[in-house]
This record gives sequence, C-alpha cells and structure tokens, in this order.
Amino acid sequence: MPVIVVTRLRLKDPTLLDEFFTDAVAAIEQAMKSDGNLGTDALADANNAWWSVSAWQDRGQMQAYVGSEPHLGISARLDHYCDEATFVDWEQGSPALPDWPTSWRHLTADGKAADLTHPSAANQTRDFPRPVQPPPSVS
Amino acid sequence: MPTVIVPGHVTLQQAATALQGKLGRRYEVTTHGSGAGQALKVKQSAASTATVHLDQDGDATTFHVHGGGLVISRMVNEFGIAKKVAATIQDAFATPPAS
Repeated sequence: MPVIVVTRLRLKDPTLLDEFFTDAVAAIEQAMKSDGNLGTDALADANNAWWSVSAWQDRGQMQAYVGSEPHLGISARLDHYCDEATFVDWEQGSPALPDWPTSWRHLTADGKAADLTHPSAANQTRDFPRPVQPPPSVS
Repeated sequence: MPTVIVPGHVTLQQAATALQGKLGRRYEVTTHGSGAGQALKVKQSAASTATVHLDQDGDATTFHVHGGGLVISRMVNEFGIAKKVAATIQDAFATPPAS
C-alpha cells in the first residue's frame, strides 16, 4: 500500500535560506529520482516554512531514500536550520499525492517533532497555521 | 513564499498596474479568476513565473507571492522572480494608495 510522507520545516533565521534552499532542492531531486517514488512536491509557505510531500510504493523504499545521501547528511543539519521540524507518514489506498490542506491535517494531528536545540513552542504542540497556497486560478 | 504587508486597501487591479509599470515590458502581468480566488500572474519567460494573491485585513493588504511552475522550477522561482515581485510590491505600496 502506498506510503505518504509529509514534512514541514521552518527556518529559525531567514538568512539561512540560501544554504537551506540548496539542500532542499537536492533532497527533492533525490526523492524524485529514487526507486519507489510515486510523486513528490514542495510548497514554500509563509513565515519561512517549507513543506514537502512524497508518495512511495512501500515503506522500505521510502526508508532507503531517507537513509541514503544526500538526504541522510541533510537531515543531520535540521538542527542548524530549523526551529520547527515535523514529519508524518501514513498509508493510503491511492498513490496520488494529498493536497496541502490534507497534509496539514495529518501533520498537525499525528506529526512527530524533531529534537531541536532551539525549538519554537509550536514545534511540540504542532499548532501550525494552514499552509498558504496560490488560488487554483493561477496554479 | 515572500509575504508583503502594506498599509491601506490595495485592489488586485491597482497591484497589477503598479507591478506592470515598475517591472517594465520584459514582464507580463495578468489577472486570473474572480472573487476570493482572484490572483495575478507575473511572467518573465515560460519558466520564470510568479503568482500573487491578496488578503485584506483591516487597514492593511497582505500580498502572498508564490513561485510558479512545477516542483523544482517552482522552488527556483520562489527564490528568484517571487522575491523580485515581492520587493517591487513593497516599493510600490510603501505608502497607502490614493483612494
């Protein structure tokens, strides 16, 4: 059954954007090229928050991606980049990527927070605003 | 996603006119949709696009600027044209528009 993975990362300092952006693009490109990947998307949200969502044929292929470079090294730098870092995964019948409001609902309901040196209060409570996305008329 | 908050009530058409004037002829600014779904599209080339939608909140207008395109190209546009469009909006509406 397909596995959906959603991440939400918020930069603790906007000046980290250049550095973070390079890593984010590398991780997204890696996911798109990885065996078992059924789809990947990313969203730049307000307040320096970045979302990603990916669909995988099964949990093993998702974990192979997570444990290989460059993702492995990038994930080790989350504490450097973020004051909020939250993840959630679930299985669903369809391989289609969920929309961002659905991803937000899963993340705020069941997400797991990374251990960060300087977390925001919301990192544990998952009291995150709904992601801001462009209207369908121009998407 | 760059967000710009400016004083006053700015309409989408005012924003389109200001953006087209400040960005010049190398950019194409068009309006799309209607009502709450109304938005602007700013296009420099087929691969370099951004979208702008507005929220009115009391005496301020919030502009949300997204990079256009798909996945990686959208991320690149968040970093490029979206930042330029946001800076242009900030410059254009730093003071409230005349009503």
